[in-house]
Amino acid sequence: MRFDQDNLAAFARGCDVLGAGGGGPAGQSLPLALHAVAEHGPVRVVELSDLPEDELVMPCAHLGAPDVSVERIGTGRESVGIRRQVEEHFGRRVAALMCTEVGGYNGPGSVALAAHAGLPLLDADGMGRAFPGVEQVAMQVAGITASPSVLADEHDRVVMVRAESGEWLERLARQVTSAFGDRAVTSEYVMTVGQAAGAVVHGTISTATSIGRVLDECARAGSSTTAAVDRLAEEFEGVRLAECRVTRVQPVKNVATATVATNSRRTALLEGVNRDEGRWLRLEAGHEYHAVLEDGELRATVPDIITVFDVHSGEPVPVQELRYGLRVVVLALPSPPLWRSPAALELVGPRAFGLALDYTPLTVDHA
Amino acid sequence: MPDHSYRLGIALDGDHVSGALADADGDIVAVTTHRLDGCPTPDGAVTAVLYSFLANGGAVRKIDRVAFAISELDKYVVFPQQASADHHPWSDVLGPIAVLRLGAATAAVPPLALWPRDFRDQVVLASTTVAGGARLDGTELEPLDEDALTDFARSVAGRVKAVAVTGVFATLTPDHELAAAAILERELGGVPLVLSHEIGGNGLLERENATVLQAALTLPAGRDAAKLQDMLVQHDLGHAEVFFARNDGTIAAIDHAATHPLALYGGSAAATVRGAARLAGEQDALVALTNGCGVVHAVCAVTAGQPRLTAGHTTIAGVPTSLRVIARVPVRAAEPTTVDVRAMTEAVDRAKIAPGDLPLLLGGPGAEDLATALPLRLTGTLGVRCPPWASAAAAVGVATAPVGGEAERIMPVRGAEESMRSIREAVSETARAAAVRAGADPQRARTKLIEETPLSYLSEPAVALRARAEGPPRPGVATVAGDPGTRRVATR
Repeated sequence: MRFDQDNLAAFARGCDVLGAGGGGPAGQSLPLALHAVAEHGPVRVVELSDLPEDELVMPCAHLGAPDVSVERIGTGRESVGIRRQVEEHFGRRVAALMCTEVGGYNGPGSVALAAHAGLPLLDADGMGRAFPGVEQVAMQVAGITASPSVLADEHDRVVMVRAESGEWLERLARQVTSAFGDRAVTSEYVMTVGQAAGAVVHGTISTATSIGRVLDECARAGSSTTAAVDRLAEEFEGVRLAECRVTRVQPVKNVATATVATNSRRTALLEGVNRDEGRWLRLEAGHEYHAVLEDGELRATVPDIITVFDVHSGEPVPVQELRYGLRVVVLALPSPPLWRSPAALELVGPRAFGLALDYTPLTVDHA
Repeated sequence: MPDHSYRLGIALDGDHVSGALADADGDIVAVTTHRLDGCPTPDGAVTAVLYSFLANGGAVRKIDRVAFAISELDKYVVFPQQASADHHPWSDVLGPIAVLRLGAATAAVPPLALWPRDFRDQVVLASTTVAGGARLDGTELEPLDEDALTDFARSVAGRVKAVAVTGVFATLTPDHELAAAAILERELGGVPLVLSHEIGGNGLLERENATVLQAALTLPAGRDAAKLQDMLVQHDLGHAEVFFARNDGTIAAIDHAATHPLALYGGSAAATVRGAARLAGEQDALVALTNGCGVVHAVCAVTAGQPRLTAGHTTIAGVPTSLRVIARVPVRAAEPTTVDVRAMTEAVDRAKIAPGDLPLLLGGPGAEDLATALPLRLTGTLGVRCPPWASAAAAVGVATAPVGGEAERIMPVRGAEESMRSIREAVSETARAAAVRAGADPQRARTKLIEETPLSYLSEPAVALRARAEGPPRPGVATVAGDPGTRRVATR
């Protein structure tokens, strides 16, 4: 597969679905990706098996405040300086750029970065969805070292941070990002192609594209949002939880915590409509949607991917835009299997987001 | 001296014309509605309304302010490139303009990249990006490249009708836009310059697009404004100050409206919403907009007398912009020509920002006819009401609306209390000045509201400040019967 003018929009749509309400809008980075491929040509999407074992995979992500990145949109060339620094540090060639977070903004953002760096994009990412924490990646579970962190701004300034622990790495990297003005492109968890085999979420770039294509087909056929979500559930082994109206969205106050993963919480009450009339769902959200409860039971929990679609626009609703009166359809897709181990759940399960709940795998009705 | 002047509101929505006459206290003294054949023009509307008000001759002679709500203006703004010459006086006069971005390290998406190609080619002669812009902390993103700017100005001199200038974080620190404007002024003389910080909105690409559209529309809008004023002279209203409905429910003087035509988009709907709330005496309500064809097409919300606006992200002529417009929740009826109670209930729910029932008011052409077709009680409402003269709501809205102005700024919150206070004061004063520039009476314009919205994920906490100011429209020249002045407001 190659990313070009024709398939990037579908990919971006899929990235928003995998964002689970977080990750920032992929629509905002889509123009960056479109311009990058117009300027540098299509971006090749590759498998690990296409790459030499001992060369490097370079995960990249945009980091910082959304209010800054919509204004300082950058050059896309930030990846060039990062690549140079990584190759110099490791003394090896980078064979491919990898998207750190396929959910949301960083999906198309990584295509732009790959195009400018002249690298292919690996058909994989670090999350298979969106998470707020730098350490909430498959590479962390696999024991890959996060250090060094290489950060670049849009003026080709590059900083490399080396530290003995994740905490120090994050503390220092945060200072660098702050000095850049709360916008940076960063790379952590650089690894060899050989190491990457068991340390990334495979196939997620393709998955996002397929999801976007299904939604495009449904839109062309004039299907309702509910029907489109039903098709996604069917093709990607998920569950359409319910069609609802949002009757209340309540921010949870006094969340005294410093970690990004838990510092924003809200809870919403959804009342079933149409064929779901009479049902009541409670939706727990942080930076992403984290859990759906019904009748005292867990219907879906993070790291499974809970996405809320606006019935009228057909677009996924970011957590910050969930509000009273919206008509929505709630979809849950299964998380990548690697997140379901006890060690992984410690990193990305409900408790990692401040919920006193255990992960409950999705019950998919294969009728 | 007591003020005995009157304001005339005139609304034109398809073939529906309405008029309202308000006294100096803002009380409505006369209202009229008409349905004219064909496609009435503003001239026809003024004729019909003044004829109806013959009985109010004394008041009509004391009209010193005339405000228009013209729904057709939406089409002017949205489809400038598609309209045919007879429908659209601007179609052949858009552009050519020059587009300038300040902020070299934004090459990831160059100016106009998101525009439909044909439209871009029609409107824009040349575009470039030079070093400049600001950072969130107010420091320079890059030093302004004055040489490159001068070169660009010289390369387009004599060939463009306007220039759009957009700097990174100009809403925070407009210094580079102002410095660029000084250079462009020097090189290009009297060519209109549109600067993005006057348009506002966070988001470089959307603000830039809005700035470019504004620049493209400025000249034709000025030409049309001049025609409209000539027409008013024919009606013995040449002495009156002229205003237009804006998308936030306020009005703007014609000179300001002509140089900021984008803000007129949605103005007619906003005037209707304001007028319906006013007629019903409600501060918080929902307004169902009728369109004269026997259906409600959208529901809007009024909070504290102000129409609720969108968060921005308005697509105009295929171009994504930062424009905030009145939030219209469409009523998606299963059968578009009938009243669909289920669809209405859902639109009511979506138009609200919180649970809690509100009165649902009807407003717009044919509202009275619809009143009988709708149930008196509707889920989620405190009842459905058709205020008297609901079909003239837009005319009432513009006849009684204040002139508004806004200002935005991002402010760090860990600063010294004193500097934060001075920033708030500066923003407040900027909003007041904006209202005065838009035609508010300088003596009476006041800042009504300062909102602070926290920005997330910043290493140093900051808030977006947004101030709103309002004042009554500035008075025109007082006249005595039989001796109307013919003062003209200068337009570009």
